Amino acid sequence: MKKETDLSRRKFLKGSVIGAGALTAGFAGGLGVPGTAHASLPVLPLPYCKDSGGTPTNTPNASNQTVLDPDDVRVMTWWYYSSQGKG
Amino acid sequence: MQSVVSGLMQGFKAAFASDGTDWDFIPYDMLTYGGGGIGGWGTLCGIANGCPALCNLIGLHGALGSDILGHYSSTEWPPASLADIYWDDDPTYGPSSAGYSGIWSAAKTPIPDDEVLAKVIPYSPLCHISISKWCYAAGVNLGSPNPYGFTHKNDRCGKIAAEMAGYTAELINYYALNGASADPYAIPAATADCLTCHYTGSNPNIAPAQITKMDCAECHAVTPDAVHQGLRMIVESVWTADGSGTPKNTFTSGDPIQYKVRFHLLGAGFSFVKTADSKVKDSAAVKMLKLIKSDTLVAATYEWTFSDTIDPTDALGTAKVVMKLKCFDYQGGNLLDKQEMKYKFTIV
Repeated sequence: MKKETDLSRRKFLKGSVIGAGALTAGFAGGLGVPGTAHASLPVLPLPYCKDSGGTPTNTPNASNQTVLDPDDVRVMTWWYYSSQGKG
Repeated sequence: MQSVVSGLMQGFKAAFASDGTDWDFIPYDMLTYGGGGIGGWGTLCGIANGCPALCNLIGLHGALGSDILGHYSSTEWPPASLADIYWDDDPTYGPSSAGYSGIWSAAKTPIPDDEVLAKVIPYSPLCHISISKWCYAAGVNLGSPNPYGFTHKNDRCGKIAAEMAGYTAELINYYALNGASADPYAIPAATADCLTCHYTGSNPNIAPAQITKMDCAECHAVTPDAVHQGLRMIVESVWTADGSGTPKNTFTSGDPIQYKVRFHLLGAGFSFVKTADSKVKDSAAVKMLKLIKSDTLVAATYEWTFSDTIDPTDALGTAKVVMKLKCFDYQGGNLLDKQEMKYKFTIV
């Protein structure tokens, strides 16, 4: 007889009526083919500079314009860290 | 983690505010999970985690992520940069500035650099090591308050966050113009030495395979005299090849076959290596033994090839070559180390 050794916390995902029902409801109700609303979700990679004409881009080029001020970033990061209590 | 991501993200959101980019859809608080090395486990520092996470959004985590962790691990923290920005007379920043007056009044005051209790290089990107090492050097625990209304630990970590975010911004700006990292990370020599034997494809029985760019000595007592005292040789791989040396696993009668073994001899001036036995389903074992019995070797990486032909009398199916290498003291003839590795191939 096979010894019962599966004592992991993953058991809560197995076989319970509530769990199975939730999965079924999920697949049936909310996880179907994405609707048109999803078409507007962000697409990576996002731009991190602008080209010489001012258009956002993520293609390196010597004529690009950088957009980040490192010292501003330092200041804002300290503000987020020290004022919001979130590392 | 949230602070570095939000600090950088705010820069991008402001820069592209009128451009209609997808930065508009990215929430500031999307990466709060990493503080304390995730759930207080002290694994990857949230700062070292957050900067590459932001780079992931712009597709540069592969180009810059390793350099960011390298900079974090090898820099003496906390830096003076944030304190300089706050306390110096630059009218652009600090409590007297017009543009940031609201920011500074809401934020804690950074400890002036000459009042910082300790500066330490973590030699690790792990929260556990980084914080523990600094707290010990500073003589404080994680809750010890400082005179400026913060804890010493949070002043230290907040300054690291600010500097790492600024450093990441500098890397991003440089990459935007040059398509390369401004500060490529070089693995320290001691770690690189460990990686010559312990790497992703190393022999799992002799030199456990691993992946890292971290400083090995932070967690392992890795002096050759201690851990590796009895190790004189590492058999890395055994394989078969066709007559020209191209790896090949399936042969037919009459095919040329090369039996190959790659191994490392450690140390110098003491080693003599021979095969004690090699078994193939023909007489190749005897030939191989004779070939290498008289070799005198020094510390180096060796790749030996033994050429033969698949004999018509060989049994079809799975065949096996077993390389048994023994390392002897060249002067005294004493056995120092012995290792073996097997490899299966097919005769059809």
